[in-house]
Amino acid sequence: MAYPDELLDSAFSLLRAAPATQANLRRAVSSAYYALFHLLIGEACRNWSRPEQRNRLARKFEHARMLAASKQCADRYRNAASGSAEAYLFTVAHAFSQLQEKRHTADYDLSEPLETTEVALDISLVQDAFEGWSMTQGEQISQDYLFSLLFKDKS
Amino acid sequence: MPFAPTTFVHQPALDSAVRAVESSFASQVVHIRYSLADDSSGAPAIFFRILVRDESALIERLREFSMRISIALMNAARTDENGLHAYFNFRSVSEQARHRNPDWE
Repeated sequence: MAYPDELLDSAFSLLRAAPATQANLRRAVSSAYYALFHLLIGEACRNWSRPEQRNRLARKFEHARMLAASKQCADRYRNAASGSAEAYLFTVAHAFSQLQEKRHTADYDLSEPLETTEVALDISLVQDAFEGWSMTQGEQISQDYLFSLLFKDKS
Repeated sequence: MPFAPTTFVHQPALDSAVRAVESSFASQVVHIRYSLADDSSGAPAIFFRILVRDESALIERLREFSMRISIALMNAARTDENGLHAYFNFRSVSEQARHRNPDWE
């Protein structure tokens, strides 16, 4: 099983663990975010033709750049027709931007307990993003999105 | 969650837009609240808090309509035109009854 899939599985396992502790729920959100984070980086690095350099390339991705690119992509495609490549890509970019904020809250903001319903919804967003990615990964818009996760176009 | 408006937003228009979405999802949603604040990256953001009826908070039902209401809110509130990134939090009535968080009332 690929590492991103393992992380998503881990998120589900933490969600289902009894009793539902705050530690498990917060780690579940974090695992779900990193599942998508590593899925996208892995997909982007596959485009690099020298396999021995891909792990080094993967270390160049930054959360902030990936967030900015995902926000831009989600805004662009949020009204795409259902079932289109653009709509699938929206689910990916939207999930990434939502989960990055959720992970930050889960890891650092202990002012309020997390609830199982919300964590389950967060993980389902990532699950939908995985499915959406499988539907749209070959499209030019999706490859352009991967590029934008690492590089900002000059304006 | 701090309440700290970080960008100019026409508040009455925003309120009206949110109320309109709330009405169109009345069968699933009790009400929608929101705050303006910076997100964890420091960018201006709007945080929606959507209080969901218990019967609609089952994960499969919530999964079905959460994306639709999220997109409806982004469109109605024109979040990108207002320079805001939108974040969505969902909570059921029974969960709120346990927390009694005034931000969700």
